[in-house]
Amino acid sequence: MEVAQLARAEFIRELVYNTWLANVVMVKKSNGKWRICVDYTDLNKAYLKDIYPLPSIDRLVDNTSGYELLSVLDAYSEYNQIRMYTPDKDKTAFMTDRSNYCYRVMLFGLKNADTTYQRLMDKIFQGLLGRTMEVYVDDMVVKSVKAKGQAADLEAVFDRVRKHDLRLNPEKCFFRVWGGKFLSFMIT
Amino acid sequence: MDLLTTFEVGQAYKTLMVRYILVDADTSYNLLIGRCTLNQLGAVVSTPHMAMKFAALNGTIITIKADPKEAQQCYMYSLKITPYSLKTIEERATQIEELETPLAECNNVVLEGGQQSETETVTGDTIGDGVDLDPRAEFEEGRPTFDEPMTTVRLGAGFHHVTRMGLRTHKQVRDDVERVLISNSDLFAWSPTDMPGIDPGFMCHRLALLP
Repeated sequence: MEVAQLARAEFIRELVYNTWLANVVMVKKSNGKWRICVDYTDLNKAYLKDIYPLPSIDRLVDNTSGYELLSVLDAYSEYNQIRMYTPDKDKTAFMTDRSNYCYRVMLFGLKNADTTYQRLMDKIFQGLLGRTMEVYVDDMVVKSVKAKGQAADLEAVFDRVRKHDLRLNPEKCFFRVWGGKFLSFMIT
Repeated sequence: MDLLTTFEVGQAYKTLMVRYILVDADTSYNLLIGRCTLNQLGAVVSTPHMAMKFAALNGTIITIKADPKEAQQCYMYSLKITPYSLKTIEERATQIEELETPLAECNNVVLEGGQQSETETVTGDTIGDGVDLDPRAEFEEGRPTFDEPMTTVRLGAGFHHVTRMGLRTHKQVRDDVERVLISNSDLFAWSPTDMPGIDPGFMCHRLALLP
């Protein structure tokens, strides 16, 4: 059933004549929902780890301290916003009881997904990072020294988001939060 | 806030200017020492020994030991404050030795875990029930929740098309931010179909693998 939904969302498509094939495991999440999870252990062994530098989470905290107002943004279904390189789609093949499918979008189970995502964020928000924005993989924080600058800072970020067709998940965004509160969240 | 802070045991001491950040948080710690201060001290910290060593100004080596009993008490107290996830509690416990003596901290707070509460929301609901297409939900324990009062702002046509905003700002700032959000409401996705995807020419995921 979930496969059908993934297909409807155009995250996956059917595949014939595949060279790679992985198994599917269903994982029960803490909220009781089931999640499809493809076991790419073998595929992940076959290629190199991307050595793109990920920022340290500590830096995110250091660099957001002392700012009056923050907004925390979250990308919708984040990794899935990045497409797979066409010739590589076939390699993400997995089997179900009816058919074999492969992913059209990047998925969590690939070992270089996090670095690709960080690279994308660094490219999209180039020039804003370190000044009005910090990104740690999927955590985006827009920061303003003075509260009244927040609207303009957000606008600049939204411009980039629009330009590159990124989409945000309103459920997981928090806007104009006092800086101290963010830190207290980080401590506790 | 910058404070001149002395780390001492008996005659030996070292004094540093330390930048503190005041945080209104319910916690059993008075202070957290960050990496900056630890580095400035040239301190070596050992969690299993519950001790920290560094060189004093006169060259002698200072050892600061934690009181296991006190550490245990702090730990128990930290359990009472809020039901954190277990992992977070363990990480907190490793911090406790830094509590004793008039120690200080700089602007970094090391833990990344967060309060676990209503973070698990309804990502996948728009396209189906029972399943969730957001792969991260397993790893979501650290998603932020804030104890600041929050309000919701409607961005789309439906009642559930909302996002959250803090309330503790001036009206002017609130209105400005709200205006920016509403004028950019097309950037929020409510279901996977609202998600055009990144241009593969700009970024796509390649596997470093020959066919």
